[in-house]
Amino acid sequence: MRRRTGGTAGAARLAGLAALTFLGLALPVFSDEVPPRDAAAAEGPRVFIVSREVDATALLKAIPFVVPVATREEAQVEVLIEPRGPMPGTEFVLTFTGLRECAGSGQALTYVPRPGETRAQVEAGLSQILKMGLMKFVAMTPAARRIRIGLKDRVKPTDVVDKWNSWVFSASANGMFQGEKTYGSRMFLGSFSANRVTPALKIRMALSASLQKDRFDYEGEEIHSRSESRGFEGLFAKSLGPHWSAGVFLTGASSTYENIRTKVAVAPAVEFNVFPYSESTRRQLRFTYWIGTNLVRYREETIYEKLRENLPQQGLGATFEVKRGWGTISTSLEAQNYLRDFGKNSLEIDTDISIRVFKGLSFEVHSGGARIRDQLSLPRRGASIDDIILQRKQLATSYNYYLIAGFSYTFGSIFSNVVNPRFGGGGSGVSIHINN
Amino acid sequence: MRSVLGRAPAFVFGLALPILAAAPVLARQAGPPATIEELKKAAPKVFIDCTDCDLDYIRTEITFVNYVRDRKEAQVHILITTLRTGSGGREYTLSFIGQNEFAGIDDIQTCYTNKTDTEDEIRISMVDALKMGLMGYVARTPIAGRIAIAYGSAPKPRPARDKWRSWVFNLAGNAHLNAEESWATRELSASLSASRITPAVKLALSLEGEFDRDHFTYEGKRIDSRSHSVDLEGLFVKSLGEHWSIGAYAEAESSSYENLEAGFEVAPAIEFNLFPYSQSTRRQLRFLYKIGIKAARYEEETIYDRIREARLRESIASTFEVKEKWGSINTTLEASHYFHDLKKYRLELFTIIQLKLFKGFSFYLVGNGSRIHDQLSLAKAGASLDEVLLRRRQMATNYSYFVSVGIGYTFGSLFTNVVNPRFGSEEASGVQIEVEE
Repeated sequence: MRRRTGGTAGAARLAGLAALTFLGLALPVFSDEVPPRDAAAAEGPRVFIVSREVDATALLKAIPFVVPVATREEAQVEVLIEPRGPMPGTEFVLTFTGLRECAGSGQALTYVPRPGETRAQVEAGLSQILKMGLMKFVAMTPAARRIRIGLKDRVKPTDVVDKWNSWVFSASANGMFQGEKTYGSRMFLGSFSANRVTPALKIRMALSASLQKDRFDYEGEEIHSRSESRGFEGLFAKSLGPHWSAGVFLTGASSTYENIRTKVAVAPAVEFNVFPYSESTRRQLRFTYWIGTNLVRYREETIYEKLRENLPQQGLGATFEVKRGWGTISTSLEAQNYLRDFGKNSLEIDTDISIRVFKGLSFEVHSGGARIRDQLSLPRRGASIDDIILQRKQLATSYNYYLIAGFSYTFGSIFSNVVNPRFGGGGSGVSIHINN
Repeated sequence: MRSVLGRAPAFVFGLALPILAAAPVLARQAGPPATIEELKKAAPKVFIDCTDCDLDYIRTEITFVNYVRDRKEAQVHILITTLRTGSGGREYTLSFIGQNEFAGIDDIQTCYTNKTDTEDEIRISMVDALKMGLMGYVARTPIAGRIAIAYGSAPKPRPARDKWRSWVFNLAGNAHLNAEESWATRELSASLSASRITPAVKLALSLEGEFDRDHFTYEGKRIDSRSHSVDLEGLFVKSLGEHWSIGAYAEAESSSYENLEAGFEVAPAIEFNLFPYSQSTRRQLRFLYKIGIKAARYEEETIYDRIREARLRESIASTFEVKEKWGSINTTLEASHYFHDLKKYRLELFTIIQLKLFKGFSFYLVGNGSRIHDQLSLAKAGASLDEVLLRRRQMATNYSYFVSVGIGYTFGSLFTNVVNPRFGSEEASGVQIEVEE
C-alpha cells in the first residue's frame, strides 16, 4: 500500500482503514525493511499525514521538528485527520499511530473550531493540536533537545481554589527501634501541621515532639540515656510587593539538650529581597530583621543562677542563594543579641556550595561556624560522660564549626546511559529524612 | 539529555488500546473566547509522585497544569522512578498514568543525567521531559490553544564514537569536621572506582578508605577514639538473556570495627530474575546464589582463639522490588552459612514499604532484622566505654534489628499550585527514604 499524501478521498479512506487494522493488531514489532531516510540530517520523527479536509501536508511542512514523508512505509508516525459530527468543519479527530521504532504508541485528539472561525484560524488550531500530539514521538528522537514548551500567558496560581480555602493539614507519627544484645535504641517522633500558602499570605504552624531512649551494656552495667524535645513553630508572612514582606515568628519549645523546660517567643519580622521573589528558584538575596522576647523556664538552675527569665532579643540575617547551570551557592549569615546585655550575642554563618568546574569535575562544600556568647541556659551541674560522648547535653563553648567538603572527578565514557540492573545496585544503606 | 529512539518501546504497556476509544475526553466548548483564568481551571490535574524532585521549580516552570497533592484526585499521575546508569548518572523513567477523565491514556518519558550534573541541569532535564509527556493531556483541554512550542537551535553535538569503550573512572575525596571547645570529630574518606557497564557486561572495581578520629574532654581528661576501614571491591557480571546472569564478587578489606587486619573473599555467583531485566525500574524478583572462600587475619585473637583462618561460605538472597501508583515495596531475604560448622549461619531480612493507601493517608516501614550466629571475628578482649557508646566495635550478639515505621495523614486543600518563598522556603513535608548506592 503506497499512497501519496493528499490523494483522493478513496485513497485516504483506505489509509485510514489500514491504520485501524494496524491498531487492531497492535503488534509492537520492529521492522527494518526500509532504511531511515537521510537519518543523519533529520533529527525529528518521520511523519506521514493523511487528510481530505485540509491541506495537511502544508500544515506538516510548517512544523520544523518533524520530517514529512510521502509514504506510510517510510514513516515512524502516521497522522490521520478526519472530520466528525453532523456538519463539515465542526470537529476534527486527529489519530496518531506509532510505526516501526515508535510502534505501540499512539493517541487520538480532537479539535473543535469556534463558530465563525476563518479557514486560516481553523488551520492554525489544527496545527496546534497536531504539534502537541506529535510531541510524544518527538520525545523519542534527538529533536527533543531543541523543543521549548511554555504557556503564552501569565497565570495566577490562585485561579484554582477549593472549599478548604488553601488550608492543608498534616499529621504524622513515626517510630524508630534498633537493638542488639548489648545495645538498644528507641525513638518516637510526632507532628501536626496546618499551612495556608497563597501568594499574598503564608501561614505555617507546626507542632512536634520527639523522645529518644538508648541502652548500652558496659562491663556488666547498663547505661541509660534519654532525651526529649517538644516544639511549636509558627510563621505568618504577608507579601508587600515583589521585594518586601512582613511577618511574625512564634516559637514554643521544651528541650532536655538545652536545659529548657518551657520557652515561648514572639518576634515580629520584616524581610527585603534584592531580587523579585518570583525569581526565587534561581536566585535570592534576602535580609531579615526580627525583634521580640523570650519567656524561658529552665529545667535546672543555670550557670547564671536563674530558673526563669524574660529575654528580649533581636536578630539580623542575610541569605543568598543562586542556582545556575554551573552549580548552586547558598549562604546565610545571622547575628543576634539579647537587649539587656549586648555582650550576650552570637554570630553564625552557614554555606553550601556545589560547583561543576567542568564536565566531570565537581566540588561540594557544606560548612558553618558560630561565635557563641549567649549560652544562657547552661546548667550549673555538669554533664555525665555518656551525655558528653552521645552529645545529649549542650556544653559550654565559645565556638562551633562543621565542614563537609568533597570532590568527585569522573572521566572516561561519561555519556554512557546504559542501565544494567543485574546483581542489584549494590545498595549499602538506607537514609530516612523526616520533615514536618 | 533526553530519550533516544529505540529505548522507549521496551516500557510501553499496550498503549495502542486507548486510541480505539477516540472520544474526546474534554470536548472544547464552542463559544466566546475564554479568559486564561477560565482555561487554567480546566487544565489537567497532575500529581507528581517523586521524592527528590525540585517541586517549587516544576510548579514555577510548568504553569499550564494544576498540581494536586492527592494521587486519587489527579487526572494524570506521574510516577518517577530511577536507575543508575553506566556513567554513574541516573535514568529517570516518568510513567504518565491517566486517571479519572483521562483513564486509559498512558505515556512513558525517559531522561538521563550525568554524575556531575548540577542541580539546575537535573531539574531542567526533568522539566523538559515532564512538558513533553504532558502535551498529550494538555491537548485534550481548552488551555491547549495557549501553548507555545518553539524549536530552538541545535545543541552542541556529542562525540559519535566512544573512545573510552564504556569505561568510566571516578576519583572522590571527602572530609567531615565538626567541633566545639570540649569535643571534635574528624572523618576523612576517599574512593577510586573504575567501571564498564554495557547491556552485556557489568564490571566494577572500587577502592574506598575511611578514617575517623574523635576526642572528648571529661573532667579535664581528654578521651581519644579512632577507627578505620579500607575496602577493595570487584564485581563482574555477564548477561545471559532477559532472566539470567552469572558473575563473581571479589573483596579485600581491613576494618577496625570488625577486628579485621586483612580479609579476602572471592565468590562466583548466579542470578535469576523472574521478571525481564528491562522492567527493573518498575519490578524485580531476583534470586542470587553465591559460594566463595573467605580468608581473614585478625588484629586481636578472636573468641575462638584464632588469629587467622580461611572458610568456605555460601549464601542465597532473594530481592523483590515493585513500584506502582499505590507505593513501593523493596524486600531482600538473605541466608548464609559456613561449611566448616553449619551452625555458623546468618539470616537477614530487609524491607522498605511505602504506601499511599487512600485519600491523604500514607504509611512507611523500613525494617532490618538479623539472626546472627557467625561472628567469627569477635575479639577476645572487650571494648572501651567510648568504643561501646560510639559503636566503634562489633559486639557479641545473636540478633540485630532496626525498624522505622510511620504514618501520615494530610487533608485540606487539594491544589498545590502556589510557590511562596517569603521568609525562606520549607522542605517538602513527609518522609523521604533513599537507598544509598
